[in-house]
Amino acid sequence: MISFSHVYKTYPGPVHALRDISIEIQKGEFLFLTGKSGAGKTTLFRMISAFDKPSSGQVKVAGYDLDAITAGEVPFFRRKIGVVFQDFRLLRGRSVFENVALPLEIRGDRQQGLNRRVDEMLDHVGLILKKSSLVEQLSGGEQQRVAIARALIHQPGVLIADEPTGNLDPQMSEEIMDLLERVNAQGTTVVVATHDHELVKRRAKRVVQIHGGTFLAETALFGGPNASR
Amino acid sequence: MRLGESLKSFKRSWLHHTGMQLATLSVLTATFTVVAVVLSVSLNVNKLLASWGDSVQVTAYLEENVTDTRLKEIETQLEAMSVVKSVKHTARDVATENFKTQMAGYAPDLLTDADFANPFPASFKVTLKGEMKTPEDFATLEKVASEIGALKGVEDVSYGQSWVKSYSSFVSALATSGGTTILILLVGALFVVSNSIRASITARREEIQILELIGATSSMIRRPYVIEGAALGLVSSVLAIGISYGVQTWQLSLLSQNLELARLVSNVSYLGFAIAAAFLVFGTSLGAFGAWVTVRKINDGWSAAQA
Repeated sequence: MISFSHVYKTYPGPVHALRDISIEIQKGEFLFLTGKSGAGKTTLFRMISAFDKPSSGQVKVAGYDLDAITAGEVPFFRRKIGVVFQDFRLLRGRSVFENVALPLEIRGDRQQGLNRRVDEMLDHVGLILKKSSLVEQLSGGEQQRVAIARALIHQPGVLIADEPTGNLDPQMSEEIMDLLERVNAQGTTVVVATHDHELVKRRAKRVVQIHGGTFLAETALFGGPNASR
Repeated sequence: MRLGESLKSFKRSWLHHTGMQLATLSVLTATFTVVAVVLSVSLNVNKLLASWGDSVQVTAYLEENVTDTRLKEIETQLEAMSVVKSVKHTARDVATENFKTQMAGYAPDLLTDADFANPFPASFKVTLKGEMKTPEDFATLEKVASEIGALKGVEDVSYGQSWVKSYSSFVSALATSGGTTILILLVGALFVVSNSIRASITARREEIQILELIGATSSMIRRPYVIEGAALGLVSSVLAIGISYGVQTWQLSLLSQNLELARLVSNVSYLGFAIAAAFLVFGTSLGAFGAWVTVRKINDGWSAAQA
């Protein structure tokens, strides 16, 4: 589902953000990407979501060759993935319903089916009673759930979340992680970047640690070491 | 994203940046009003000049000893010329009577003066086809006058040479200055729309990035801004038409109180329906084009990465 093969990314400076990254993430897998700020997690995510191209190497996501993708193909690729950010990135001044419905409107879905689908999704994330509220009236945890609902409404094969609990308290963080696990249980490949080690320890998932733009170690499930390179 | 969503986006933009939008609308309306006024004045002056141009005639004065046979030949030759519309002969005694009638107000005795010697030659008044508006038209007039002057039996030719030259220069100057003024104003209007849309884009940068993130295509992202520009252009041109029509009607009603100007004023008209409709279409298109010039630079699928 996601494949990196000897990927390098160098920004002007030169700043070597990624160095020889190779990884395979299978369909339906749940993976934590951990590392300190500046380790390269965000750069990796920008590659997965086609916001950046590698300087060299190959990146494949959901059947698209992202190192060779054209600008015209990018929007259609993004409709195959879902992205969640630490700062939610919701459209202010619009309701919960309008925010969640946006990917379907962009896809050109009919209004009737769209309404039903959005209601189902809001029910799934526990926000059906707040569908008419403006997003800025919600708590941080609720806003993140709106962002996750928006990322999932078009049923993407891959969901990537960059520090999705970074702005939330521990209880809210657990709720969000529970929600992501439920999403994963339904077959969606989920990749979560976080530097919250406690949060990662409590989940039995594959963990990849990144440092200085390169993978340090891979840990399978409850902490058993598993070298990646 | 459908048209309805684009219109909703425009409404949101209007509500979020009402001050900026009002300022843009005011400047655009003022610019379009001046363009409409210049257009209306130019059209009316052109109409007036064309009617003067219509009355340009060449008078061919004949030699004293021209025989009737030769007179007929000259008339036939004049009528055979391709640019000649009509030929009217004025005999010597008719010219004298015309003169006496015209001068009766100043010298009433002339009408009964049996000793008044006839100083006037017989002549042909030659009216030309078409209007006298362009320098080419005046060149044709000069050429025809020269050909008429060269006919055997024609002593002299008059067509108001000095007046025609001034008229020609005036028509050219009017067309050039009117065109230049309109061009400068329209380029200015383009910048005004473009700057307004640029401000709108800057204020909604985050929204653009979010739309990119969830798979909106370039055209989906650009469309609301182009609609915004078109709407600004349409509303401004409607207001400009209304304001310029109101101002012209008001000014004409003031001028018509002066009896000497009343006849001139009665011939003045506003932009016709077709020109007014074309003005609205042009204003709308200019607004949309000004916006498009700006938005075509945003969103190539990677703008969020560059933020």
